Amino acid sequence: MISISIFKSVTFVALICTIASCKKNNTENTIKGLGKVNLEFDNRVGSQKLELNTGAYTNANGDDFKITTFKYYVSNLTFNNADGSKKVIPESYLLINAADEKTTLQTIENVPAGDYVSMDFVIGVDSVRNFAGAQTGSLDPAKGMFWSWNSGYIFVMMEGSSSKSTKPDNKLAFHVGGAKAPNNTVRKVTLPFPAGGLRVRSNSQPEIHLYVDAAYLFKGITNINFATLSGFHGGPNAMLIADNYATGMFKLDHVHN
Amino acid sequence: MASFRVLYYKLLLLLMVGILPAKACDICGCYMGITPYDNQSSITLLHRYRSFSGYSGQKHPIFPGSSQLFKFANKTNSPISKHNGNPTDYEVYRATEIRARYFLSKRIELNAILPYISNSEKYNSNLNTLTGIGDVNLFAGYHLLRKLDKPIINQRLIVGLGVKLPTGKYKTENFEGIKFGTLHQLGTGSIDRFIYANYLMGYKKAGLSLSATYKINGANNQQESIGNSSTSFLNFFYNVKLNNTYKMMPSAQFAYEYSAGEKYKGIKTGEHVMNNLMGGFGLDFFIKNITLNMALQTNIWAAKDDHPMPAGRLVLGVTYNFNQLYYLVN
Repeated sequence: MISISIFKSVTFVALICTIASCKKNNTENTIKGLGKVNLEFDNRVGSQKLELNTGAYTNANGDDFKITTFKYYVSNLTFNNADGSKKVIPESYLLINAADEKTTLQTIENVPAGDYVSMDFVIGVDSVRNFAGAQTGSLDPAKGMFWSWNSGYIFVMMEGSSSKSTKPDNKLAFHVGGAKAPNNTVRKVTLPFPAGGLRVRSNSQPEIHLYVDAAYLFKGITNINFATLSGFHGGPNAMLIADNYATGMFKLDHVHN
Repeated sequence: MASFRVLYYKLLLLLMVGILPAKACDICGCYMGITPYDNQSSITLLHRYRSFSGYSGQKHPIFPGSSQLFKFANKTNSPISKHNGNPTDYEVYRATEIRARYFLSKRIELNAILPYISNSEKYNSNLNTLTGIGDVNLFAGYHLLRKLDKPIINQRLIVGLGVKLPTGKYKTENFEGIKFGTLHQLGTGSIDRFIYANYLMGYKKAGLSLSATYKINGANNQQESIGNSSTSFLNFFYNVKLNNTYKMMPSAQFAYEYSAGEKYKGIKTGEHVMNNLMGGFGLDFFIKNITLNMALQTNIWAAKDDHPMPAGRLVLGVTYNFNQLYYLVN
């Protein structure tokens, strides 16, 4: 009698399990709302961490150099869906300053929830905003990245020294900027996300870890020789540097979803 | 009639565990230990502790900072920060489990593991601990080979199938409404299946036990999953009979674990890939019907990644073995 009831209960459990196995997994398709994304800017020179003032580096031309200032704008952040649609983040103007650690971790608010395959941004400040609009927040001229004499922003500022420099005190001073032809240095980059993409949800805060390699100011297309070029404020030489850094200064290291 | 019934039960077992959308243990794997039991139904209280601390090139203490062997208080009031090389960062996974084993016949065993989970994560001084019921494991084993009670060489081989059910919470958020990471959660929200084999060989007083588990992991309703994973335990043990009541079994232990890491929509994301060999020692005491288990393992080798590295595993257990003389199925 006992064994019959066991027999029945085992059959019952087996039946339940078999039925359960037929049930398809429910999938929540409610990806909506707004989320946050952290952007980490990991400043480097080649394979080394960027150490202001103390780090000793060599450019692709074999010239030694040190860096005392490294600042740059990243703007017009755009997240791209697999279907080609784009989510542009309004008023996204980030100023990263290697001397101010706070600025190397930026939180982007109000990013529409979704699964993204890549991101675009402008290195520098778009042409329109160079000449119009509110100059507040990171665009405040007091940040030291604005040419009042020229009405325009410095997109990337690198200062330092090299024994090869012919400037007083062997200084280097590269101020890249200019949003008008023929010396328009606005550059856009697209960084694809790794497999799995970037998942933005209202209850998550994924992080994008970027390597920013200052060595790419001086290589990529044109290797810079500090003996012949040790600095400028915009102009045709700025085009050389902008074309260089557009090729590889920003690399996506990894994404934490 | 009797043989028909045995066949029927075997078929049902296969049906239950084979067809079920099964789900296995967490990334830390099922701890199987030596399992020298023999045909005796038992109940075990087991506590598993596993820590990851320090990044590649840093120190890897088994009990980093404020981590504790036991922690039963929930703490979700810290921000969720990302890991970035801070030497005080750690991850600790604790499970206090009730494990029940029932022998349906001399060769068929049914097992259930009911875990109480306590997972802590400390990144950049932000500590959060999630506690609560975890994912229940159900599995059944069949003793394929039983050559025991032999004078010199004894052997036993158990093969089995199991399922992990999504009984643990998997969408817990912190005070800011940000969801904790997949591995930090109490459960995976998915149904996982697993198969396992446990081989035991004794030569006189010495022996070895090899357990291997392979998990085929399902996805939760967020379309997240953990890649299929395998866990293997190899133990070399030695039987020391202290007197007629007490027996002791010291062992050298090795554990290897591989997981392809997290997946989203079936695509590997490269997050939390696990490739780790650990080793240590164990000591089991047998006092009449009671067995006390303990094991301590530390990292031997781990693939480098950007997470805190495997540091240690500590297992404490007490088992009561019933003197089972009768079986429902003969």
